[in-house]
Amino acid sequence: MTSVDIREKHASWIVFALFLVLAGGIIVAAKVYYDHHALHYREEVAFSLSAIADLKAGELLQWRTERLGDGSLFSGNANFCNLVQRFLFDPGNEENRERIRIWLLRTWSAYGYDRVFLLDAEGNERFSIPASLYPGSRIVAEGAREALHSGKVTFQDFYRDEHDRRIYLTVLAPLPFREPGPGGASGAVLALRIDPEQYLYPFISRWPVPSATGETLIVRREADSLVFLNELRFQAGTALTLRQPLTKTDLPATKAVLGKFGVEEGVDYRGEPVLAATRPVPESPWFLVARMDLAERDAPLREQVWIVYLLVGSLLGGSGAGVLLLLKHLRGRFDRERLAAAALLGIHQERLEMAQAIAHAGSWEYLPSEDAIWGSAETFRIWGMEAPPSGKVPFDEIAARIPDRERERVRASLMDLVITGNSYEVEFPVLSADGGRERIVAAQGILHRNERGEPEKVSGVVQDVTDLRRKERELEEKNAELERFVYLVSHDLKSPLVTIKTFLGYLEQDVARGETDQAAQDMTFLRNAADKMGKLLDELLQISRIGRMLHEPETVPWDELVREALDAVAGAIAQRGVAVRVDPVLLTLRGDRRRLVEIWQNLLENAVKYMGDQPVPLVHLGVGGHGKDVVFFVCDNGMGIDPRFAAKIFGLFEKLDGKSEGSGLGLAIVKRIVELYGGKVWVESEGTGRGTCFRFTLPGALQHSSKKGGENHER
Amino acid sequence: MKGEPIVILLVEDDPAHAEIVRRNFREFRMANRLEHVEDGQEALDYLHRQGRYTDPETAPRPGLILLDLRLPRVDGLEVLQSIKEDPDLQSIPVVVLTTSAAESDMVRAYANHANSYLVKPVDFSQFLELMKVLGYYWLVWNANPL
Repeated sequence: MTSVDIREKHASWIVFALFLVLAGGIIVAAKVYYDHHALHYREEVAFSLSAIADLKAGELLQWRTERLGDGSLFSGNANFCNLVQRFLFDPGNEENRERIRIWLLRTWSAYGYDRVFLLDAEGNERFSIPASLYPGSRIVAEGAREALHSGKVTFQDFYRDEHDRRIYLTVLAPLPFREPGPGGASGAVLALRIDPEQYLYPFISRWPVPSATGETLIVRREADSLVFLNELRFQAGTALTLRQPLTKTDLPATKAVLGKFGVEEGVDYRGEPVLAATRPVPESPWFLVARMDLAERDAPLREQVWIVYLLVGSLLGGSGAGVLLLLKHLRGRFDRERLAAAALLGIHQERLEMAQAIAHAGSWEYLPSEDAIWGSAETFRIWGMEAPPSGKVPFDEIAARIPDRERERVRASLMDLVITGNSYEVEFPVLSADGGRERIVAAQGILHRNERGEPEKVSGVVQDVTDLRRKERELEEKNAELERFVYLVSHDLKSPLVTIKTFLGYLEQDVARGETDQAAQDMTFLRNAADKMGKLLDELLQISRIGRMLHEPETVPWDELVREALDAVAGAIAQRGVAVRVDPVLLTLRGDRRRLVEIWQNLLENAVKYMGDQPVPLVHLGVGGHGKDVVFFVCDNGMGIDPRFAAKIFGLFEKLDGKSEGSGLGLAIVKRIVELYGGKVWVESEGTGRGTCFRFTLPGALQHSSKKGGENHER
Repeated sequence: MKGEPIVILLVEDDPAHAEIVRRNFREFRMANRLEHVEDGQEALDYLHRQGRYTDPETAPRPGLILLDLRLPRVDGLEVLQSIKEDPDLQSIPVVVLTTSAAESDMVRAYANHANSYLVKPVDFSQFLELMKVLGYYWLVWNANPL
């Protein structure tokens, strides 16, 4: 997984988490808002319900007070009481009867009572406006007696008249007499009967605002039950009929009767959940209940809930869409990053391959599980193999390119690395694809293990070190030669120095002694030594130049080179009377013309110098072999050379004859130049006095060869 | 000093140096006879009585060999090796007398059982002193079977 993948995953998680937090926030906010709103709303409803209950209770109280006031008007009126006393004693007196009739008629019509009637102390009805078919109820008669006894205006609470089966209330106003009348009667009672249907019930059931379920009702306690006193909104015929036991405490009315007032939820007479405000009606046995269905109260809330749901839904949808957009944007950005990374990877890959090609170093991986090698393009190039498309080949295929003598060693060291984990550094030859020269490669590797510590793969580099090793070898040779050169120079320069100093000493001695016999000889030694040093220095200069190309390479026919060399040594050849035979060869060489000429020139000088006492001196120049194996030769019939010394003669300052004038440099120079052109030089001689043949190759200077033999000519 | 003149074989390719050695021995009258050969091959021929040196009169067995290292044809070290490998010759003291102060030369000389290794001094009087000491030491004091 790339770092971009990981970051994308992280980013996605973060965005998702953000969404969750946002969604949670929205839901919680909505819930808090709704709860707060609902609480507030319910408080408001409860408050208004409570207000309605207060209003009603107040009005009921006022109504009752007014009714009692009506009664008091008569109770406290002594004239009226006298009039009633006179009327009761003398019912036949028309004047009194008429006066009473007028009083009662006025009261009946002015105050809207159902019936106004007079009761004597025994409770018998004596006069009634309007005149009634039925006598007053026994309940009223009893109440009248009690009222007369107490002397106070009282209410005869809701009762059902046993004659007409209707419900009434009656205000009983005692009318005390100044002195007891006949039969000891102390007074009479005026009854003001009220038909609740006329005013009270409509008043009670009236609701100040439009409401589907709002209702007020009044109850009173009768022993262990309560009695509904008015007609109910949802149930007919309840007044004084519907009773509930006081054990039914979830009924708001029960709570009211039991003295628990306030606003509370409960279950009403229909079994519906309701909110109810309960009050006592002061100075009465009544308890007032103002109630409405919870369903009605909560209806606006349900509507609100839907709005909240809708709002939350749209907010969630909106934030979800936002999150999706964000994700899409992020994915786009990461895709662009991935593309950029892939492009960068491509560039790096290209650079790596280029670097490997330049450095001749390839990278590879060995997979023990498959016994296969993966290699970079350069690796396969070094191995001289076609790179497979997968970049992977079986190890055996790779091993087949290692020469038999080395294969096991290479494989063993790789296995050793896999098993022991030791470092792997091995150098071995590889066969070239076209059967040409072997190449030397150096391979290095390290072992990778998986999490369980098992060998997983070996990764390493392989480098073509053929040129490196060749150059190292050349450098070593050069170094050795340089060391020898320094040694020889120090020795060969020191030697004449010793001579000079010593013979100068002898000269001084001779001069001091006045002897001159040896002076001439001493000076000869001195001169020779000085000459030797001078010559040596010249030759050192000369040899320091070899190895450096001084001139631009040019193409020269072989016979032209040979002619130039012959011209250079013409004097010596003529002096010694040497015959020269040159084979006709059509061959062209390419190189530093001066250097190439020097080869033949030095060999010719050498041949002439060591001609010995040969009476018919002869030198033969030509070419043998063909193609890559063209071999040049310079042969003479001179002194020859002891085969034991054959290898030594090409060394610096080596000469086989201590007395010869050469410095021993000529053949060293030949060797240097030949090697410069990738060739070899060697000497063949059958021994002392039997002539010498120098043979050499110049592969680096051979352009092409077209040899024409058979025809010889002498010079 | 013994009655028989001691033969010294000088192996030296430089005629000037050979002359110096010859003069010194004459000066101090050390040796009765100094034989001089100019290269390694000639030295081997002399010692093995080959080539020009078959006659024991002209090539008597030396009591001391003064050997230069850098010689044409056969190198001084090869000559040394040949002498020390030969049971007849190995008892002859071989003193390497050379201009080379190279350590590699000394090491190889002693490895080939050189009896002494002397570097030719550049200074005249030192060279004379060296020759004098060398003469006394090897020709007078040093005892060896013949």
